[in-house]
Amino acid sequence: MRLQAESVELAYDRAVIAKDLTLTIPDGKVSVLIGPNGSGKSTALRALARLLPPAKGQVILDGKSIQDTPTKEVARLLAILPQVLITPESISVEDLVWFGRHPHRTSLKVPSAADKEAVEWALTVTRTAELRHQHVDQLSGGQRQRVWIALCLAQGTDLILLDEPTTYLDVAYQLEVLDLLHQLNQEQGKTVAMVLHDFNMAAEYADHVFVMKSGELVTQGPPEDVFTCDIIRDVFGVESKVVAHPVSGKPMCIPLRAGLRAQLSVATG
Amino acid sequence: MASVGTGRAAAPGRRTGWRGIGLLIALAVLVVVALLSVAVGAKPIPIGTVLHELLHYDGSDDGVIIRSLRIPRTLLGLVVGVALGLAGALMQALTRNPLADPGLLGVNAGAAAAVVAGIGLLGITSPSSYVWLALLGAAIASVLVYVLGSRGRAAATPVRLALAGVTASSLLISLTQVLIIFDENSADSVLFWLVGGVNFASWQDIRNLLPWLVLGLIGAFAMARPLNLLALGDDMARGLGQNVERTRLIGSVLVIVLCGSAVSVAGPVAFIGLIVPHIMRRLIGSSYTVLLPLCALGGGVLVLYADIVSRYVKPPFEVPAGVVTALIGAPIFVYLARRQKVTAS
Amino acid sequence: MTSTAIIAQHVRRTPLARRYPAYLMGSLGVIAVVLSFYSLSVGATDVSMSDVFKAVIGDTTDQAAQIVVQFQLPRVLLAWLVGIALAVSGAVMQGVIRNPLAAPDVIGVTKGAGFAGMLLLLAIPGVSVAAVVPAAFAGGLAAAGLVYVLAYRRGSTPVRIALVGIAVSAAFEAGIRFLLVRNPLDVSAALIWLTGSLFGRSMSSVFEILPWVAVLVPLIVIWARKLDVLGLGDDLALGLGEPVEKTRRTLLLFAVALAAAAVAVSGTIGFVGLIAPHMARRVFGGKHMASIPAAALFGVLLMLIADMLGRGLAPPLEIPAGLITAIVGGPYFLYLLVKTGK
Repeated sequence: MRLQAESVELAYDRAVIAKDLTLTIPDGKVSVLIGPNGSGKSTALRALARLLPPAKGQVILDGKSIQDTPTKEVARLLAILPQVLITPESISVEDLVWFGRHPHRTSLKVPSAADKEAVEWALTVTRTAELRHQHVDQLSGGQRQRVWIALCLAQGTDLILLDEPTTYLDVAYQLEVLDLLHQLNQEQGKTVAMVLHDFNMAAEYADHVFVMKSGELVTQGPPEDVFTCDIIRDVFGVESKVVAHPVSGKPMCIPLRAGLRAQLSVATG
Repeated sequence: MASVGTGRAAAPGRRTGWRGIGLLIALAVLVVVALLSVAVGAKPIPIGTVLHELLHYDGSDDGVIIRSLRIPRTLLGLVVGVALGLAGALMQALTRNPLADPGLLGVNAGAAAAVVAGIGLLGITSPSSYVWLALLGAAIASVLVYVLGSRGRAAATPVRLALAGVTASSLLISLTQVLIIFDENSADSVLFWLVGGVNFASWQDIRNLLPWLVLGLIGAFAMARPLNLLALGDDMARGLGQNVERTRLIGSVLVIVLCGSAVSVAGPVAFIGLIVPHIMRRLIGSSYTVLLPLCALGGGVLVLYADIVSRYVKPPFEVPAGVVTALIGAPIFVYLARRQKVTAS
Repeated sequence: MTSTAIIAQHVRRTPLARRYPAYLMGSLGVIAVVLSFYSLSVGATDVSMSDVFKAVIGDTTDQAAQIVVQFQLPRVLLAWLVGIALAVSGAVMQGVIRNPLAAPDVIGVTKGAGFAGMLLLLAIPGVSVAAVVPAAFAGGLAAAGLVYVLAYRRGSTPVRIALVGIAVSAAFEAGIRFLLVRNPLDVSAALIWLTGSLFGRSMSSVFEILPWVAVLVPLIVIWARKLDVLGLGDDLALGLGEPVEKTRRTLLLFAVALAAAAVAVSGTIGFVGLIAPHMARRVFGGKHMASIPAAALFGVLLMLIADMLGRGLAPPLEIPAGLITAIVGGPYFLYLLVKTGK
């Protein structure tokens, strides 16, 4: 496995978010980190992406400590799409995606054929090529997110990490983005690791789920193993009924409101 | 959008006992400092004599000094401090920005520039007219800074407002500097309009300032409850039935009145509006019903204290108190700027 | 929308400047050169253009040409160098701090340099202006260093740099006022130096600032793309392989050195570092590869115009250039901001 956190302790100033956390991202699969607010899932992802140096322990990428690897080299192996994105004013889609080639370019080099190819490919795969001259701030939520993903793809990495890529999007755009990531994993073999807020989306798209609570990894595994009433109750504090998705067969957790919980306990005895 | 911590939320009613005591302590400190201000100076006068002269004026040398120099100076320092302390508290409440201060946000600079322009370009000489000029200047500066800081769509975050304030201030201060240079005033008046102080106080100044101050005081204290509501956020305040726009408008007018009048008689004394509310908030929390009076008293104490210290900077010469407030205030400002917790960039 | 329609819309929307930046910048350069020649000929005594040409070529037999070389040429050259230094410094700071209101005047450099210069001027009365230059330069660097150190808490954020910069500026301003108060006899002279002007500068001033501009500005232009990447936010910039903290520190150091050099030779001339980058971005767009050279050109134009207005408005009285930039620059800046709503 190429990317893993080994017994890391993560903290912001004095506040310790996670202690002795070990996470191994499975290669070639779609992994999702879920958990309630404050569980440390975003913090863990940022540590994996070397954005947050661990106070203790280390993050290993391809056998080397990620903090000891030059950041440009890391950027050629791993792409991260953070949660907070600043769109420069009046920038075209194509110009924004070109930023993805930054790790491959030095200050004095002109864009190479490989650069151009990578950008074209990124635009094509995300179906944003026809938007290339439009200004990013004029696109819809889903289109804009696809453009940011195209930027990450232009980096040409096998590992892509995304911090809550769907959180502020309408449901149609959420599916658009997640379908794209799924396709990238299936067709291009990319390893995708992301933090998602919606545990049912996680169940639908993930090959491997990491469940976190209060800075600890509560459990991990395929959705079928992880999404149980007990775990949902333990981690998210809600009673739920877990059923199979009527079309995909994946687990679906349906949280139960007050009145229904009584009915459920009567029904299950 | 950035969020900034402004201290503990207002907790009405809970610690009334402490607050009453706090106010009394502040009042006591003020009295002590005021007495010191009358006693200390090029000719130190013993406190006993001071008290004696205050009660029965007997025309002695000391009595004359006290009556014509020390008391006006002390009173003016007190009054200016009250005005600026209140203005600072109001500004911080209205902008929800703990780094707001009439000096930093250019309001004082605007007032000073307007008066200097009036004197230099229009030849206005009667000090009672200065106030009107100062009010105009303060108003223009406030609008300028608000526009610069809001920039259309985005709300004014502390950084944006601070940068806007600095930009506006430096423009206005440059203008003031130039007008002063070309008018070839004495060094004293140069410093007065750039630095601010109460060392030239006269009874006339106090008479000019008093009506405005009383107006400002009454208005400010009436604003206490609306400001408490405003601190919850515009939407929340509206939801609780408050007219947010009117509150802001009245508050801004009060700030302009308080600052403009203070600057017209004492020049742009710096940092009072920044430091005093911060200290008071640390001591008694953010409920404006108590905070406002304490800021008023605290402002008075600080200006008097600075004025007393200023008498030791270059004895026996007079040094404007504004220099001392700047030297005290600047490091505190640096400390506050470092501490600023901003959650988004 | 068909792709040709989209491209057409893109072309229509993109102002001329962005499609042909080189031509427009070239034109600006030509205007600057023409203004320079004009400025060389205007002064306490008007000099004809032919004398100016002679002086530039090096033919100094004529007295008029000598006047040009000795008095006017340093001023014009200084206008170029100071304009470039302040504008590029401002452009870099605005890019690093991610705020269009950031400028050397605001982040401590100017006031630190002013304080140090004044300290020397007042501590050693009668010291030559030449000695003040290195003192002011050191003061500017020290102030900026102080800002960086104070703003650093496990890394510096643009917001903290800006706020601490304002605070440190205020502190040095307080120091300046304190110095003024303790030495009231020299107040006018000190204020004039503080206001900043190109009056009475000789070629030595030109040579003092030249190396900084000649070395740092090309370096900054080469690093233009790094500034673009920083603008995407710290996280994404790191993710794209840019060592954010190091790059930010280095760029700020360059910007500070340029600003300190400018203040050291010409006093505190405000607003050039604020306005020139703004104008550049409005006309040429946000990509630093274009906006930095453009800012430099606008800086030159601003300085030339300010200097000429200062000399020409009320002769023989000379209004300091720093004053012109303040009076003209301030309201113009406000107009820019209100107009674009940005």
